[in-house]
Amino acid sequence: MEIYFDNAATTKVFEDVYDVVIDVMADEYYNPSSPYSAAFNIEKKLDTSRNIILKNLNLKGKIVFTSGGSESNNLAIKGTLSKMRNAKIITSAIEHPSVKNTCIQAAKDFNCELITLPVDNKGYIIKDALYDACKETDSALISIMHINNEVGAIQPIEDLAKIAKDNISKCVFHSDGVQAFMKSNQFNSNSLIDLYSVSSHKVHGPKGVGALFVKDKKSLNPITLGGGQEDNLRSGTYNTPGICGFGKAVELINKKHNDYVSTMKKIKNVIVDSLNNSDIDYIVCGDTIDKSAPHILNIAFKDIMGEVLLSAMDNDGLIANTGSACSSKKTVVSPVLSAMNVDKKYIQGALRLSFGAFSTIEEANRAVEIIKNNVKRLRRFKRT
Amino acid sequence: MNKVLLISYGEIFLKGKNRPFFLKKLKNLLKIAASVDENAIVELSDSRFYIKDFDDNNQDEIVEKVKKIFGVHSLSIAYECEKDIDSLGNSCVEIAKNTASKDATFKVNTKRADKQYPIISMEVSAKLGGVLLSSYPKLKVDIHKPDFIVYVEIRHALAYVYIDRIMGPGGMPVGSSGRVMLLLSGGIDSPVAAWMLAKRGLEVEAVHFFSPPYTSERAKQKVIDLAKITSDYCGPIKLHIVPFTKIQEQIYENCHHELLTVIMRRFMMKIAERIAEKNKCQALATGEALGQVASQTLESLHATNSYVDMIVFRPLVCLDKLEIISISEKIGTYETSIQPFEDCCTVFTPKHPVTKPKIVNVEKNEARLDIDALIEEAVNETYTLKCSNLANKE
Repeated sequence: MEIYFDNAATTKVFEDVYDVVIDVMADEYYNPSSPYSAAFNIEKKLDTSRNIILKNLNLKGKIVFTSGGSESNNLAIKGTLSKMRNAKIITSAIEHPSVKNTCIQAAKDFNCELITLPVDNKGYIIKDALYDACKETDSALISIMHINNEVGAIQPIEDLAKIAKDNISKCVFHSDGVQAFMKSNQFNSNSLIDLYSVSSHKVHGPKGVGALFVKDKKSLNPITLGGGQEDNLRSGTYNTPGICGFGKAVELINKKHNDYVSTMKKIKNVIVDSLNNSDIDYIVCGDTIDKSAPHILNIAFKDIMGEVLLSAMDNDGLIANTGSACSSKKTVVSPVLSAMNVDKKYIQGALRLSFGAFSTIEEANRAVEIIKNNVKRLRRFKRT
Repeated sequence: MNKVLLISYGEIFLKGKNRPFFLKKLKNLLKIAASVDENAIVELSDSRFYIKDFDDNNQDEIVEKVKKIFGVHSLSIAYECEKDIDSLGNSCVEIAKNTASKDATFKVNTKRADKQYPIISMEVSAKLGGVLLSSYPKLKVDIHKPDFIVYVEIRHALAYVYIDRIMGPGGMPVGSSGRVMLLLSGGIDSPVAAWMLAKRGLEVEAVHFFSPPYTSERAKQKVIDLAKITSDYCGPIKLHIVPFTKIQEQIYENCHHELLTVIMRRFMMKIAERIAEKNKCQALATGEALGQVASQTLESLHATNSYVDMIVFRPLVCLDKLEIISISEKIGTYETSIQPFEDCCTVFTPKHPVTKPKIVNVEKNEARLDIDALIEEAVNETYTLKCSNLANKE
């Protein structure tokens, strides 16, 4: 049986979710913006999904449905900057490309200064750098991810938002919560977060749907214009099957949230304990496993090419991911691991294992044996 | 007045008694190109090939295919008509319809393959020039530097009128010179070598060495994609995929690391030769260019060459990298070749390979391996794909 440990990339859809998706496609295909009662019924279902997501975030504001995490990040960043004048953009060195590249482009388009905050060797934003970035600025968009997708570092985003809000008079704080949603704890009711991106397919929902939490709809302009759906913040006919499926997935995770998180933590322990009891030379990238995200484990092996290890494990039925990708002449190392200053001897041998609701301890036991066998085999061959 | 594709062939013209053999090969290739249109026919007459009876909508696709057929010197979209001056005049007026609308200069260039034709070429040109001037008053004649030339060919049965001459790739029809086994890597060079071999009429088969997990499925797919692109010129390519991991690991564990590359390449040549014999190929070929990397010095080439009996073609041997890249861009393989899935694993590439390997040393190292068994196993586990852009084939 194949072991799927790449849940940070995407997840398998729950069976109950695809039942919902198919039902909506087959029987409730109406356009919710239309005037008849069948349309009104499906509109109510969209609102149910909206409320489930909002309740699970425990934030006060609006949910704007989008096509996924990348669109949510684009809307948050470009939509905010088009409302602000002379704003600074402050982001971090370990953002997902949909934040990183959007910030770079927006800095050009809106003629803004872009500040990229460094991280320490565990992947945490260096707070002093944020204090420095806040100086001599009275308006800023800040975009800092909640949980990092490669190493699972959990940023103290409320603390960071407080620093920003205490020091900058007009400040919009966005966080990419795609990896954190339904994995980290809920927010406090007095949260300082203004915008928060989430995605359905990372939580066992269908692909092609996501959402942006918006605290104050006046803080941003739409980037997609048209029929004025979603309070004019995101036009376009609703992806009704996707949105209903998303809501169902969140509901299902919510029911067993504690079980899932505790199993994922155990899985991380099983793997790390087993590696520690072997003679394999490796490091955990990021903070200790109890402090990083429950579903992400990034381990790096000395003198191994991550991509080769991946391919070997794939052959043995273990699917995972790597932080580095090879190009024809040189190996391109993960920008996240580089920003964290991971030891050069290990950085090319990074392996990201990520878990989901379907992952089991039994799989972890099998997976770690596959990892150990392949590392031992491949380590015989290193470039001399 | 019919629209036809007029195709002239180059070097085949120089052939003597065996010319029909080459013409038959070329005709078959043209037939495949014309098969885009089920009604199209290919005729050979009077030292020219003609593709006729195709639908206008299929014209561009047929032209694109014919442009890639080795053996074709040039092709033109022509009007076929009777040989009298009136018919020729009508064809000239029709073919110049788009070009003659503005103030352009032109001349008429007439050739008579039919030497019995009663009017001499110069006079035909003058008469037809007159017809064009009276139809398009804005046109002017310039016999030295005209904006366009109206070509008139008076052949034995009929006459042909055309303006543009599209150059073909030249060379010899694929399959007219025998069959070769090419080592295809996925880089820039070997697809260019395939194109050059096919240009001289060779049918190309390819062998690729696949080393999972050190090279990925995507790297293999890239080689298949490259074979498909080159198949536009070479015809469908049989691609033999050889599992190579075990051999690389054995060489690594038993031989001097600075000799890894040269020994690995000797294995590749030997295996390619075995597969070539099995598939009735008469030669091997590589994309090696002299001095490009350590394994392509004269000494290294000797070390790999001397390990096989079959003749080895290296069509790129004297080309610079930039020249190779320029051909690769022309034939459309460059963009695929530079996709980053090749050479991912540098594990088996020594940091300091020998540039002048001594055969004695190489053989001493190889003696530690069970060469025959390793080669036998690799050959037995080789599998073959047919790569072509024609529908329903891989």
